[in-house]
Amino acid sequence: MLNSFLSQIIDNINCGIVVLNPNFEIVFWNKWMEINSKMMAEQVLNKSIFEIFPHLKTEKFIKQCKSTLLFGNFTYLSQKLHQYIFPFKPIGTSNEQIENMQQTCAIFPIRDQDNKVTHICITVYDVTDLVIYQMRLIELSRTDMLTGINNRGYLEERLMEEWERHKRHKRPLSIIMFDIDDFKKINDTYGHLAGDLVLKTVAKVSQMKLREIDIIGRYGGEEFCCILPDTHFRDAYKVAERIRLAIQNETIVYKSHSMNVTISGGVADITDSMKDYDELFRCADNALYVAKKSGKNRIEILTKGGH
Amino acid sequence: MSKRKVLVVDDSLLARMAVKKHINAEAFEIYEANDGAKGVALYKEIMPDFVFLDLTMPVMDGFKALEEIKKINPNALVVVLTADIQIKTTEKIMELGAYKVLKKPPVKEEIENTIKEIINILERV
Amino acid sequence: MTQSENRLILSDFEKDALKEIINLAFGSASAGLADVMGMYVFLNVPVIEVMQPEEICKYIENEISLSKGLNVVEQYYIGKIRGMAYMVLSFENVDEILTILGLKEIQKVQSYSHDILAQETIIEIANIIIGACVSKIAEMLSDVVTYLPPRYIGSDYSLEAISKELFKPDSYVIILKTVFKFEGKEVNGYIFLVNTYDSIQWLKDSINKFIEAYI
Repeated sequence: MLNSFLSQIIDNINCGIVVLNPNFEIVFWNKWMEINSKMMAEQVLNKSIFEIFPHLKTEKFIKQCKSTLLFGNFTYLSQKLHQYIFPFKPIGTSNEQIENMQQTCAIFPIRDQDNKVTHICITVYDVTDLVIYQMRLIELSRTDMLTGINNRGYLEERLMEEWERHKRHKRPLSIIMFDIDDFKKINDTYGHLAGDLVLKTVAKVSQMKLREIDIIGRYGGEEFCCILPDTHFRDAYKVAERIRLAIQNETIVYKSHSMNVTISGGVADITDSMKDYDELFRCADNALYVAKKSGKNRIEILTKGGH
Repeated sequence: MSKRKVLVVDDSLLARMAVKKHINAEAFEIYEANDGAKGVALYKEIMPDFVFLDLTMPVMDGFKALEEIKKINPNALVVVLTADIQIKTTEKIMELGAYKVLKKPPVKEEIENTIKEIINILERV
Repeated sequence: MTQSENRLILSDFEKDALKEIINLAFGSASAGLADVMGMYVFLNVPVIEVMQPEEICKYIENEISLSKGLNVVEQYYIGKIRGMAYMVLSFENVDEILTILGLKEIQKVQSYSHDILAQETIIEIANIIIGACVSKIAEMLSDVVTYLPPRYIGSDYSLEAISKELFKPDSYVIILKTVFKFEGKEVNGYIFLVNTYDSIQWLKDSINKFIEAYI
């Protein structure tokens, strides 16, 4: 009775269950695993898990299993770090961003009567839906709602990361700060909705002039910022010029009004004497100020060494 | 002939008791210290025939104490007791000039046999 | 708490014995860790304290500098001994942490930030080290423990809020503290095992059984 109870539970629970012996041979494989791996228990039983899933033969996975065998502790393999342990394709409609089923796994010991650990059990939970939801939330928290590009918080987070990377690997790093010339006039003349359209257009046009690895965001108001990893200030200047020209040549149509806007920008790159990433921001901001003072619709460079 | 002297160094009273249990109190004068530094000082003072030494102790650990004792007497007979029996640890202890390494908790036969061996060595000298 | 109250919980001899038990446990834990992690982990002589739950937070804060922000992982363990393990990790840079798990660099996956991935790595290290220490102590006392998943306590949490559910006010806890260090790495930390009041009597009995067998 109990046996039939248990086997029905084990076969119908929404979770994969695999049991391995100390030689990493599979001794149990529940129905969930059969369905998702498309391999029947008979096909995998008594075979090494590394024979069926060669990618698992990593130092790390073996460490985790050994630790459970030796200490009898529980090991958790988080989706965030591993994404998945078993490469399963989602059954049914899938999200195109996610190729494989996302999994959270746990490894726990199975003991004999003398409390000696004789096997390890791996449980597999499908967390794909949760991950999609999480990704959407992360994306939302990083996005500027009006323009659809990154927001200031994310810009700062990324700049901090790039700053750290620069410190470790001594790779160049430049940033561009730019803002829309006489933006207040557009708002005053055509209304805020026109202003919004200008902001959206500037964001879209600038983004098209950037590389995949560059990061653009709205810094605030009508001010934008681009982070250009692995880029010297001279190349950053060329990028800024490309953006400036593209925006100058873009005609924005709002209700029957045609508008042309221009931007002014400042470029700065990282130098060894800078104490923090704020200094890089300030440097680019100062260059932007010079550009405004010298007549707008232009790009200025200012590095700490002074160029 | 006066009794042989043995020094037991361990921060744990329980551990010292466990070693002493296997040493014949009629035949030996037993001295005790509860950290490495005191053990070294006591060694210098009484110059025991041999030592049982723990590894993990506050103030001065067993590695350092062993080194110090070997400085005082390069021929000192020191038996190290440790729960950490990794080859690396054992090798380090032997390099420092220990006579032998025994696993903790101490086993009666091992302690008694070791004492017999040591007495043989001492009598040959 | 006065000295005499303290002794009611564990006598000096029992404390001494517990320390020896833990020394023995850590000896085999570090041998096991060397096998599992492929590197030597130094586990220092443990310190044992009896105190009231209200004092835990102050005690931990006194022992470690939290100026760099919290890097604490907590994990609940339950057997006949029951309590919360806290691992506090301090390191110079994240890359060092990664090499401990045999990773060269965090793979930038999906949209998670570097910080989150570093946290997950710290959690996995904590799980192995806490698991090794707790299960070896349990083994010495003929106990078997199970664990809940470890949780990272970052700057969004405060140690002031240490589980009131687990550690009832006006009771006592036994704290075991040890310092650990990875060989050849600038990574070290503390483990605090805070055992609940209801496991103290069992612990006391087991210690005495151990003493009887030992001497």
